[in-house]
Amino acid sequence: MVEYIQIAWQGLVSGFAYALIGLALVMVYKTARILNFAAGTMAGISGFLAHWWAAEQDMPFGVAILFAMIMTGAGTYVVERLTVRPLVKLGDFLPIVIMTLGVEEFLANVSLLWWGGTARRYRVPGDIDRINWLIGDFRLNAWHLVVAITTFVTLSIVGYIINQTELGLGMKAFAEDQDAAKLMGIKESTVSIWTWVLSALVGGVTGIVFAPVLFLQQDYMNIIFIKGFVAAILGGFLSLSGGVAGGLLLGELEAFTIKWAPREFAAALPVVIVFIVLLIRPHGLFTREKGHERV
Amino acid sequence: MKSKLWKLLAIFAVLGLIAVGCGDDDDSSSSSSSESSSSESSSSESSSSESSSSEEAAAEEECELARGVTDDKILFGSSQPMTGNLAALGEQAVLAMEVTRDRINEGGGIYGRMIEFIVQDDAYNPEKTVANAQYFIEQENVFAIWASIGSATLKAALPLHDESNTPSLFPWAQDLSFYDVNNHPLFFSVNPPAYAQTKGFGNYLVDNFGTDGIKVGLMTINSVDGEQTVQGYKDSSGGDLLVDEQTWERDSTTYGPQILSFIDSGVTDVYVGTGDTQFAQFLLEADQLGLEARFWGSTGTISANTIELAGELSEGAYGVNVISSATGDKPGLNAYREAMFAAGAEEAQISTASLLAYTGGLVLEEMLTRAGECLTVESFVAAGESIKDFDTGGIMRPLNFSEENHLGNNDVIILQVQNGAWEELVVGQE
Amino acid sequence: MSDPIEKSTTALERAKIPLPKFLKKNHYFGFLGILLVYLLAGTYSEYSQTIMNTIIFAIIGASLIVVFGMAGQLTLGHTIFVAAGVFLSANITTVWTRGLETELPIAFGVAFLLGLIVGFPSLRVNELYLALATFAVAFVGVQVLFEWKQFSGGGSGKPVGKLELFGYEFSRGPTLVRIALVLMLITFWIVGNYQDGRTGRSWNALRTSETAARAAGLPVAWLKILCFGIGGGLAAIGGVLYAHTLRYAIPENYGVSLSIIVVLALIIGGKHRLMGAVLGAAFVKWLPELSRDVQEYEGLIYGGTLIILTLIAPDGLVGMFEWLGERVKNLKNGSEDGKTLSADEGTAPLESQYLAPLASSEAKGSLIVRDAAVAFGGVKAVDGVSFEIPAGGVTGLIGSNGAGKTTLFNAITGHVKGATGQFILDGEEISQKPIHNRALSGLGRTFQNLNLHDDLNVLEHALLGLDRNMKYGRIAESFRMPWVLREEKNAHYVAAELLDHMDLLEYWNEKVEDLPYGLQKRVDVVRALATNPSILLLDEPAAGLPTAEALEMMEKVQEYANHISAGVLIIEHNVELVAGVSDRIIVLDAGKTIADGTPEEVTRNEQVIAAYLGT
Repeated sequence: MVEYIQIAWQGLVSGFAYALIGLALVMVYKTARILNFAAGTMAGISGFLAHWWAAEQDMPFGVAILFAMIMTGAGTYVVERLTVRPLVKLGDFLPIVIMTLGVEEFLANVSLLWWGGTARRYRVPGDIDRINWLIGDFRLNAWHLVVAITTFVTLSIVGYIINQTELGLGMKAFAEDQDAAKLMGIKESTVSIWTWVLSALVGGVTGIVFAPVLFLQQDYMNIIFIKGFVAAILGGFLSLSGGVAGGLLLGELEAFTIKWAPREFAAALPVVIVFIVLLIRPHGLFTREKGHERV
Repeated sequence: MKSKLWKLLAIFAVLGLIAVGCGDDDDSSSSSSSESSSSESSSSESSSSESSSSEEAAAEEECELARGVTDDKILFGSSQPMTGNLAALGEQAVLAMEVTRDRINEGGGIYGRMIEFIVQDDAYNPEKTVANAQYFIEQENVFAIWASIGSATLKAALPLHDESNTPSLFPWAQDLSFYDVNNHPLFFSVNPPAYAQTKGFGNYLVDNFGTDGIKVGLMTINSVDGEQTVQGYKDSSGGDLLVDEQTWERDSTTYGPQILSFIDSGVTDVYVGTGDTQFAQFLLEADQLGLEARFWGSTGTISANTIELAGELSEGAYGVNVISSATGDKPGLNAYREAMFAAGAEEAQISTASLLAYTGGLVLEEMLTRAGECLTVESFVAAGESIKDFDTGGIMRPLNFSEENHLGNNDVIILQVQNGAWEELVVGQE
Repeated sequence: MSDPIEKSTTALERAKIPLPKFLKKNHYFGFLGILLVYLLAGTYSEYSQTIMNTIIFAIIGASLIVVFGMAGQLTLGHTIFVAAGVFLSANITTVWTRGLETELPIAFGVAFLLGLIVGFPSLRVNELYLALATFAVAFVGVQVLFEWKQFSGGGSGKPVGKLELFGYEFSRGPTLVRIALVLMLITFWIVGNYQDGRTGRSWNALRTSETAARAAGLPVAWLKILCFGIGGGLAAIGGVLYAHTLRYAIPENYGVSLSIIVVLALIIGGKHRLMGAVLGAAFVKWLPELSRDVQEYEGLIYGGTLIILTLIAPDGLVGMFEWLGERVKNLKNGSEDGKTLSADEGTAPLESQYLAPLASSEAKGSLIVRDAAVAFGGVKAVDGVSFEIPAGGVTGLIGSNGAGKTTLFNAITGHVKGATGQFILDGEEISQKPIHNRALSGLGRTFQNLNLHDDLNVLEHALLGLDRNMKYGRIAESFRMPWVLREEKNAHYVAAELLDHMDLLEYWNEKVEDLPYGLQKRVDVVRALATNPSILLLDEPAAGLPTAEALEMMEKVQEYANHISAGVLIIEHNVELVAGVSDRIIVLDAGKTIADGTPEEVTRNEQVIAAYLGT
């Protein structure tokens, strides 16, 4: 029994990463219909920045994170204005995807030139990432607990912003109907940019909180990004809670399939399951199919 | 016959347009491709058909230098993963190559020839490695390909090296097929195949811990080297003790599932065939999940960075290496570290990757010196084959090459992390 | 054929619509370009690897034009076909020791079949979700390669044997480049032929509106699967070449990242044009080659260029060049719009040699509807409607908003799921048939909110409708056989006359999205008319049009319907208009028939006045 709880917990911790990145992706897609391929790399750079300020500029841990988040937000603001904004008015999905791929390549190389390819340890106060508690037979890593708490806090803040603030209302309006939202006098460009920033901050939190788990290395968040993408689609790309749920589900799927499936199929099985789910529910688990198509 | 068929194809292709032109062009191309595979003396420029027999006779006396060699320099190429998730290895190897180059050049070069090399990124993608190889050989006219990294990539590029008579020197690539002198007569290495390493590990394990109650788990990469790693272990005297085989992918983010499986199968010893970062992560997660076993890291895991990343958790971990620990205390190693730090290396870059490239550089220097002033591929290979009991200052045991054996080193060295440093336990062979 | 002494010129000639020819200007340019590289391959042999990689990626790009550029299926699974080509090549050359003559057909055939399987998810999922589904397929494909050791050599991979053709061995380098060029020529020829033929047109149609493509009688499901088959087969040809340049096949190379690069290259180049495949491949292969001297910054340069390029050429390089070309042209020609028709009046379209044979004296289009019902959730949008329409008649279908008119239409044509009831067209039961088969049985329809194919011009819409009556096969099409051209030419003539009849001729080359609303409505009608339907279902054809314009259009439609003796069923809000054109009117309210009779009877019916006319 404890073994299952242990596996479930491990899956959940991976799932937190997928869920947060999935959330960040869905947020931007839902509001602006943009798929941001640079999300993983941007999240990774946040992690590097936090490490850089703490380890090489001798800032206190928390302050370094704060600085990293500010940099992430500001950087994203600039990136969105310079690269994505000029393309939005074309109303075409693909050039923006290519643009974010270009941004991804560019930023990944900036990061590589700056920090090199060697993995670094992201030190946390008291080295709590190395503390494991034994609860009965269940082993709980202290940092994993921090990851869990951070995830919940982040989700709550995002939930609050979406439901209680003007930005959130704008995001919802755009998600519902772009044209109607414009008619209501909501400025598309403003909503879009703050959605980007919010999404990058969620990504940044993920990048930082997972840095001790994955180590800071070249593009360490990119794999998480791909999983987050899978998770977001599993959840239905238009549902924020779906993105989160998809992430957690994917984490569990991975943990349990690798545990039970024969070694040969273990790696592919989660993807196969997602594939089958998609065939049964073409718009993901948590988005309802649009009624019947009006013709 | 060939050009006739070509014409046919050409006619088909361009509906008979300029068939004559095609024929002409074909002749020149077939001659240029055959010459590039037959003689190292001529560059592959198509103009080389000028060289007449009288010129050749004259050249014999005044020594026809190999491609990439001039009176004042010898040019090498190196294809490395400079981007992507193996970028750290590429950076380390290049640093060691720079150290070697500077050492030789500051000493006045070899017969007055300075060492130069060009690095190109392949991001561990064989397509790029092949394109790089062609660039080195046909555009930059290098003498040899030096210290490239990767088995899968080298597998793709090696035929091109062989055909163009370009030596492949001291790569970090461990596929068994490379070491066949008949197929790859220009391949020199000081890095035994992955197969030999795990075989050595299995033998050492049984010799030192017996077989009672020993259960072994292997975790290898799902790629070129992985299967040979497993096979090597199975062929060792501990082969029967294997109870759990796991693989990992280059884009894994966690080894939790594999670790849980190892816990399930109750292993006492785990061999982890990864790089240092992955090994550190493995140790971390093993601790989180409560896997209690002896951990054996492969060549790639033996670096200062493993200890830096894993901290306390690395204490007591074993390493199976082909070379002494980069952090050890031997004359050769001290010289290596001194040179590396002088060149701006970080602590984390003191690793097997850079040490292997560095050691290859020592042998390379010796080969070039022995080949004499008239440096040709033949004289170079002969020089390599003549090296016996070459002293590396303790980095490896004395190296021996011969006509049948271009693998100078057959060591399997067992190390252990003690008090935050890799210590050498035993030096043996498979 | 037509006697030149007789006055008439055809509509096609007057509008100067170019006829399909065996060789077009593009072909000559293509041949010349390829010939140039062919001749220079020996001179620049030191670049042969990069040239090879460019050619391979151009071939793969061309294959992706089929799947993505034309049919619009966003796939991340294309790598699986490349891998199939690579590993088949490795096996055929080493195990069977056969040459290209065996490798190419087998690789094409196997990948074609594989494509038919991989294409299945596209029937269920779209866009991003399809991208993920195909991503999954590619992911699983690599795992299969890892585990199927006999075939792929497992993680260790497999060497590729000699480069041979019918027993002749070739050296690699420039020779391989030349072989690749010939294969590229063939691939491009095939893809280009599809672009010009009915299959390509159908793919373009399904990309831009699946619903309308179905209504025009196109077998959308088969077309989707077919695009994966053909695209896959052609990609595998690239794979065979890839195997021979790499000489060693390793599973881990053929992961999803390769798919992404291939898609990216095509978008950069321009996803609708073969030139786009070349430019895209050149971009991803030559940028690194040219930045070798500053290789530390290669990635930075690559990313930066990608950003700048996307900003200045969001539609791809081809799009940018075309735009520039048009600019230059406009500068030269001033403001001449080139749309003027020749003054020669010509024959009346319906009497032209192309439309005259379509005339029929036998009335078609008798439609029996029995107990038609459609429910959305608990709401019965159509609730047991029954009526019979005699052949050749014009019937109006009116009712207030939400009365279920369009839903009834959709039930008849099959555009709504879960419709029950019986529909019998000219004695043939069509209730169980899929949409496109109902169209093929003789249902032609238009759409309330204009389901046109953006990106396609007016002429192509007419040709799409004519597809129903085209006979040439897809294999003949891929090799541009003479009868294909003959049929295409004929279709062009017919289409032009039809456009002329609907007064659309001068706009033949306009993209539909650039036309004013009234003309778009006509295009919609033309597409339906071109199918030569037995019965024409018009869904509010006059909505949003001034009455005069609407009447004029209806007159033309009716004239044509009479010409081919087709029945007409028309939904319309404008009661006057309906009353003017119909023999009979059926009134729906809340999903039920409340009146059925001549216009006079219906307009006097009290129930109708209460439910509809009164308000």
